[in-house]
Amino acid sequence: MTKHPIILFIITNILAFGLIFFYLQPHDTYILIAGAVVLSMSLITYFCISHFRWGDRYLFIIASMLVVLGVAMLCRINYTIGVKQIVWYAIGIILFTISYMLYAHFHFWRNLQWTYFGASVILFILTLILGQRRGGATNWIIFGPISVQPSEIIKVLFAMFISCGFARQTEKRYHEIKEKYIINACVAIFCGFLILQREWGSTVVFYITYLIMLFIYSDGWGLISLNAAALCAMSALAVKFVAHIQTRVGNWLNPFADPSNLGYQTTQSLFAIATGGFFGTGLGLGHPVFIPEVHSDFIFSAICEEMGVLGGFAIILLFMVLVYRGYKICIIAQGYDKCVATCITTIFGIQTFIIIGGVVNFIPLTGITLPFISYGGSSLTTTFISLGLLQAISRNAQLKYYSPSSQATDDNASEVTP
Amino acid sequence: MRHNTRIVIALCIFCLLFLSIIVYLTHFTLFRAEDVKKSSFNKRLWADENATLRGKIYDVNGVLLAESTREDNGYQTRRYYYGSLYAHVIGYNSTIYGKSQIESTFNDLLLGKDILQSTFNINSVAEKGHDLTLTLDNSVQQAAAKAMGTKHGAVVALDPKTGDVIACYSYPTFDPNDEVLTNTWTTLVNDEDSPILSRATNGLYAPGSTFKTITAAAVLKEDLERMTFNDTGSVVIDGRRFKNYQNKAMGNLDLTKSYALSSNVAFCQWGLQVGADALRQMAYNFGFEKNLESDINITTSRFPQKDMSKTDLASAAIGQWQVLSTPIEMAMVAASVVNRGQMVTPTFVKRATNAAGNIVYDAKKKSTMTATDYTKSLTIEKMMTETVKTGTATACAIDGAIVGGKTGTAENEKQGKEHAWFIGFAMDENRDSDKSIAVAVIVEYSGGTGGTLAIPVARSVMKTYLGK
Repeated sequence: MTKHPIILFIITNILAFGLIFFYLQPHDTYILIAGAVVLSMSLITYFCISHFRWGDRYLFIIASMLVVLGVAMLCRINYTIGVKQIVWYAIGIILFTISYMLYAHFHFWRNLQWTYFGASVILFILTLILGQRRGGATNWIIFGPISVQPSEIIKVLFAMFISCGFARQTEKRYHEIKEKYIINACVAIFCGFLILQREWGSTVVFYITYLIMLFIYSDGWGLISLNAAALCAMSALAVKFVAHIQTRVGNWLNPFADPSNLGYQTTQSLFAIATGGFFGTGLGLGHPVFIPEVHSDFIFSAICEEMGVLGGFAIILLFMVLVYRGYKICIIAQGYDKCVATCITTIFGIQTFIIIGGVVNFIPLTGITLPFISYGGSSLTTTFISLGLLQAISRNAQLKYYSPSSQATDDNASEVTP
Repeated sequence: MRHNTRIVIALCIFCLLFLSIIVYLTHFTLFRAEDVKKSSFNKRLWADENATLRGKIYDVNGVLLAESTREDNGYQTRRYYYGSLYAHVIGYNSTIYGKSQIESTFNDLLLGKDILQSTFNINSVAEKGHDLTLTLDNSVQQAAAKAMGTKHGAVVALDPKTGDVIACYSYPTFDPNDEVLTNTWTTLVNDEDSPILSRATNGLYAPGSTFKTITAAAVLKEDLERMTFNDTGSVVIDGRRFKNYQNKAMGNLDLTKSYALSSNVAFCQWGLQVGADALRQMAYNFGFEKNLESDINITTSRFPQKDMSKTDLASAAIGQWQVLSTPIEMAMVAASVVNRGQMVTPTFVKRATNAAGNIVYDAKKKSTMTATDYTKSLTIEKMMTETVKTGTATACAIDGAIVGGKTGTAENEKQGKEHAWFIGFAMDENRDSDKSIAVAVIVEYSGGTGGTLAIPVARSVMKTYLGK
């Protein structure tokens, strides 16, 4: 058991905040204080995780590392936004702890299936009524100075909701066979609302998460084939009839056909990555501000420009390790916990793949945030809530795993705490 | 347990997806990034460049030719004070259409980057770029443009000893100033006369009788100069009739006389005597088929490597067949004759100086190649001066100067619209003054002879340079 990861995290923090301090003219000591506060909050949380045996030790460090890299980039792009993100990060850590506590110490979560669904539908309807249009999608509710993106909250509710169904299925406790079709219909309703809001990215994340859950937990191949076929048919129809999707696919195939208008986002992103090369221009020496939406969806391109494509690889690999830790928790978890953990990990993985793949033009671009890195209060806090759930599940699983009643063998157990 | 197996499969799929992005990005960075970032839609190119005030460009005597000034909005405007006069040498520097010629090849120096910075791609920004001094002489360049007038073609003048380009002008031309270029671009690229083409360095023409200079060098090399031919106005080789200009019979001719009078009959037969290999080798020695690394792109002149029939050989010996040459290449041929057989690669940029006045780039190092040896170059020089004294180029004589030359009338795809050529050199009668110039002039599709159309242009350039 080494303590190296936390040392790496501390070094990254000091480097990141130190660099921002020297980059900004005039030097602002406030940023160093903010860095110290954030670092100590993370260290306290990490201490709790390792000392009070809160489960997996790596999840939180990986996520914090991603956030700090994102904060460094955001401060460089726009100082105000960067400082706000630091505040959100602090709130995120608090919410992480709260959601961990709540999930670890109460056990009624699996009984609230229709509460999750009802809450989601209410949020969807609120968005449709009060929603403000930003960048093509109607997905913001604005209360005075605070703007909320309900679909981010719904993402957590969605994971909790579909897990209830799958948990019953795995435990062979379906009251009747029809229930899985009801769940399926509910997923369709989720996607329907998202399409109404023109949130194509989230729609894809939700639907593919559902498909992977089906792949892992459903018994037969019937429902999954049906859904996969539906996905293909819908994609084909969308490509054929929805102008917005047509443009996106056209841009993906040939981003340089109309670089000043339709292909603007993609080409600016590619210019940034190409300019950065493997080693990057160096923090503060590139022009990431030329990329539209650089602080949210396109932050990965900015990282590639200034920290290099190798810096981008580091981000991708961190996400890979995060997904690995997540699925590792899934394997030892049981019942409802197992389903929730799978769902959350899958959402992290898909969201990352879709947005990184999109901004580098590996797949068609759909606008969603990059978890932990993109600027955004709703996005960052809800991802930390999800992470808190995952943390709680890992604790529950480890407790069960080590208890004498568990059937696990000893050599398996050694893998649990690396 | 089945679920756990499926979870491991899902994990593997995710790892694969992430790794495929990594592979894709590696491929992109290695193979596509270079092209992508050069796109004119990449604002970074201009953002970095705009921070540096682009260097000025002067002629050899310090006349200001191009300069950038900063506007109120923070952006720069590039001004070319002589408009279209240097369009094919300095080129243009446009945010929309990119850069050409010296603006392109000397971009790093104009942006104030030194060799260390451009090699390691260090992204530091100088306040002021380096200033360039060209080898061109503004007064000679203006004389060349004035003499060409609206005749299509090109003029190149070189310093035979140093390879410095003294004048380089092509017509039709264009105005590279940004607002004019933006307004005329579509017309320019669609114009059948190709005003953007730098005829002097990139135009390929049949060299015609000017190529006899190289054939004569081959004759000297093969020790055949004692031969004489009886010129009856035409000769039949393998069933094809080769004629002199206006079928003129010139009688018994030695090498000098047949060169001075430009006898096709004699040179066709000399070509047959030296043979294809010797003629081709001599063309290679004079720079044909050789990639000339100069400050701006020079198209390689052609003497194809393929089997030649007797008629092909006879035709190549008088600069026809598939022999093609750029005007600057023919100027180099004339220059090497007066430079004792040594051919110097042309230079357009003499030096670059930084804001403090220190020289940061100096074009001292020239690559030379041996076209012919010392004595043979003297013989050819005599043949060329004889041409001006008694032959086809008498119109080129200048008081107080030694002038040599060779006219040419090159057949091309348009019947009765021959290209008029002249290549030559001039130096002060007092040979110690060291001032000499080699010139090549082509007037496209003129239908006239080199003597009537090209010589006045060359003579005007020579006179301006020598101050006669």
